[in-house]
Amino acid sequence: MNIYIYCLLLSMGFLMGALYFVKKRVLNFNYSIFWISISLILVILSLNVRFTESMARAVGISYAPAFLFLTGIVFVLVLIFYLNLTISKMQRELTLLTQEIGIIKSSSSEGETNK
Amino acid sequence: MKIMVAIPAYNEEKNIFRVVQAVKHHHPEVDVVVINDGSRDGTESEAQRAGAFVINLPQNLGIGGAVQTGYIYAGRKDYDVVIQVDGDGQHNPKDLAKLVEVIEKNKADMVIGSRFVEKTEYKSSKMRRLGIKFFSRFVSLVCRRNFFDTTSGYRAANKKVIKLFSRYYPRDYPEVETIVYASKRGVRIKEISVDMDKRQGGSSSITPLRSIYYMIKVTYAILLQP
Repeated sequence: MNIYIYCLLLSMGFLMGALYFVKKRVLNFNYSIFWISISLILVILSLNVRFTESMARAVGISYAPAFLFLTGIVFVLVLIFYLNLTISKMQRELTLLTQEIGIIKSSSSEGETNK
Repeated sequence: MKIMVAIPAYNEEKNIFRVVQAVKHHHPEVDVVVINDGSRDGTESEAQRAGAFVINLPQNLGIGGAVQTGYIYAGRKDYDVVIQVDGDGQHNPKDLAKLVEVIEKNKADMVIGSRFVEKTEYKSSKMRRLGIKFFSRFVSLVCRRNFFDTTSGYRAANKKVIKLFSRYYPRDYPEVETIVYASKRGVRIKEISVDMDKRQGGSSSITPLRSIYYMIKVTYAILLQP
């Protein structure tokens, strides 16, 4: 099987998966936009053999699929970084909520157990 | 002046009663608030038994999150001064008045109780002293003035600082970073000498392995100020 057909099948599967989870509203919309555009770019790249090869040559890679892999890895790195940003933000929010719960609970029990 | 003593405590059932009692004994006029940072032992009941007001965090946030809770609470209850005291009994409450006095006379916004002379008897005392020295020099360089004991957690803060720390306080190992953070925002910081005892129970949160993380984290935090 041709590597491009393999890539195409993979990216089509990806696109369908992304669309399915958006339809089910399991995936947040802002993430889904990201995933759908990634899948579309992958589909376009694997359909357009000449474009991919010229892109690869432009950056000095003689084996075009290697260019695809490299691009993929960079994308994954960016994505992981973005996820770390999201986790940090959630951690901050969680800290705030924990502090708030602690303060509210202590004040509501002021007359009973505390003091 | 409305004064509050904030004591962050995580699994300190052996010490917390004595620490709260000591503060209350020396200064019956101040409010003692223990921030129980998700302890799994009897810290809450021991603190209440000693007569402290207890804020129970439903899960462990780490020292920074616990201390910040104290500042947020103090801001809402309109306290004029917050004094941070460690829950393990290292800080001697007889020095409390000295810290408050500096703020009362408006000589500084934040006061640090400092151990100019080291008398720790920890196993890693040499490394520890080296670390303390390193950060004192480093912070002194960054802030362009002398600091001697940047790792001390014995501090008093006025309203300005309470407000500042309610907005941002580092999650872990906050002592050194907060000095630079506050200093860069125009907070007047003063160090005064206090006695510090060897911790009387429980264990220090800084193990040899963690100290490497500590050094890297704090150094980055100072270099990359928000």
